[in-house]
Amino acid sequence: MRYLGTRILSMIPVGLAITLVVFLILRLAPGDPVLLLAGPRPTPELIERIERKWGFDRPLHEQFFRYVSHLIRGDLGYSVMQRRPVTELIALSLPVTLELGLAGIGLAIAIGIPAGVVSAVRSGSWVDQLAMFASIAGISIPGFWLGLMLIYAFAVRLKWLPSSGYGTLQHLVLPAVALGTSSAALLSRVMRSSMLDVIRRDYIRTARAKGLAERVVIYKHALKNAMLPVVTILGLNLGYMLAGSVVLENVFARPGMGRLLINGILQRDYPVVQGMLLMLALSVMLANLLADITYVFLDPKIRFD
Amino acid sequence: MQETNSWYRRTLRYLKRRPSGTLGAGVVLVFMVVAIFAPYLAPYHYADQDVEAILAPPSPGHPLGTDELGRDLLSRLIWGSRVSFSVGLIAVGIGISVGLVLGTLGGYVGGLVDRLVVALIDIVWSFPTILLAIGLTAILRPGLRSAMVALGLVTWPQYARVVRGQVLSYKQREFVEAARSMGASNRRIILRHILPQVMSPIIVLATLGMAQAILVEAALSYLGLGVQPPMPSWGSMLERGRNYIYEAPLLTFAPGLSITLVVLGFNLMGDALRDVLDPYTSLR
Repeated sequence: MRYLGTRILSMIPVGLAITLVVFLILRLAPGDPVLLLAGPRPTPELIERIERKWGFDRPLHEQFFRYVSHLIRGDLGYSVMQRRPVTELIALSLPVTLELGLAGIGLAIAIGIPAGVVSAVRSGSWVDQLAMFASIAGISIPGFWLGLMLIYAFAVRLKWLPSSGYGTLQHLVLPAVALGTSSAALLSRVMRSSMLDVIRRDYIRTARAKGLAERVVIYKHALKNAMLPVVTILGLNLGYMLAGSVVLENVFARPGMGRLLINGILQRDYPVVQGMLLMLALSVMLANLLADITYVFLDPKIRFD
Repeated sequence: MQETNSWYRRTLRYLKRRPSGTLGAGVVLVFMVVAIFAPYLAPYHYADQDVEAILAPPSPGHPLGTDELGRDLLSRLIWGSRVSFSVGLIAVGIGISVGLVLGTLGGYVGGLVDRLVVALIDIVWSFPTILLAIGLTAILRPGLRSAMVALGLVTWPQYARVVRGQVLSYKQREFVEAARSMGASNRRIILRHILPQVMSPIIVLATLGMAQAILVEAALSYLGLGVQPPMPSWGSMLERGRNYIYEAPLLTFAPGLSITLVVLGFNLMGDALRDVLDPYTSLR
């Protein structure tokens, strides 16, 4: 439990560092931040109000603390283009992004882990070679192109599924497949090498020597231990999934955080860019934390450290 | 010299035994030749328009057809390979340079410097590559140069981490102690004795890094944050092709297939190289 406490406490400096990077991105962006915040038609009163609110006349470190204190109170600024507070935009778009991310990771687990286990158990066989080639191909295909190909096959040609939009389960299928494929590929590779590593251990030989059925040896003894590195990769991957959804939301016109982020950049709507970057990066941080917590529950060795 | 030679031969012999690695290297080589000789290989210039053939299907004049402005798709694919390779090379170059300097600094000097380097690695690491690249191109203004710089600045931690680890472990070895006791300067120890040992994992990472850089550049260009028109990038070609997926699906197939093949080539090559060069991470 001490380990977990330290781990959670260590999130604070990392979170602050992330916030600092995102804060600096806005401040280093070309153009006067005040004018950018004021939007296309700045009035002198508006400019003065923004300067006071965000303290642009103060030194940089003071501005940063002000930004953080606004952040803690849940104030991420105001999008002039969208005529809404950024927090409201996040509340609207976060579920859209989370839905896609979770569907993608679910798919990746459902395909990647069994494929990796089978590959390892039958290492060297044609099944293994096929799975490993599929996995390196899966890593190499850009997710957004896979998305476009899926749109062509299932929306344009077969007309089975909608090509874009958000709302129903049908809208989720294609983007989830496009998002999950590369993670499934990566997971199967990690699962395979971890499993191969475990299978060679002494305790597996002991289990076999005891006369346990091969199935029990593989699924009860080996798989449980081989899952450890996979869980770490899974946590890291949840972050990549969120990042990948940024691109895929644009391919499938899903109104999530990624789409808001890109539109924000193209329209120079910096409060939105800042808010979305921050939320996405913090989600990645939380995903890694979640992976570490799972790790502790899977591996009793860590608990007594 | 002899050592380099045997290392080179060993690699070559191994690649022969790993056909997938050779296949990958072959694919990469073909695309590299295409990129270098693009002006001679492409039937047209990438911006040449044929107003008679708009969204034309493949024909003898235009082997892969034309896009919505009547530009030859094959020629644009060929020119586009230059963008992918130059972004890859420069981004990986920046990443390795920064990674080598900071990694060596942290590992060799230690103490507070090392703690700073590790903290910096952790911060950059906590952002997914593409997300930070998107953020950086937003600061740098969308364009080819921004994409290269952003990618380099986002990927250096993966090199720095490995370099730092290697430097830390080699710093204590006997051969470094021996060199030091013979009065070798720090500069000489780092350049002549430590860095050559670090090169193997760096070559592996650089090969895989090329794949990553090409993928991320394509994504950035697809989002409109990378290469700007009329310069063709496979990513931006996909973005435009999407609008014509009904009439001219080849505009979407071909650039994506090119990206996939090059990235697959680099990945296959990197995997094979990892097995032969990198005794720490190869799993047999």
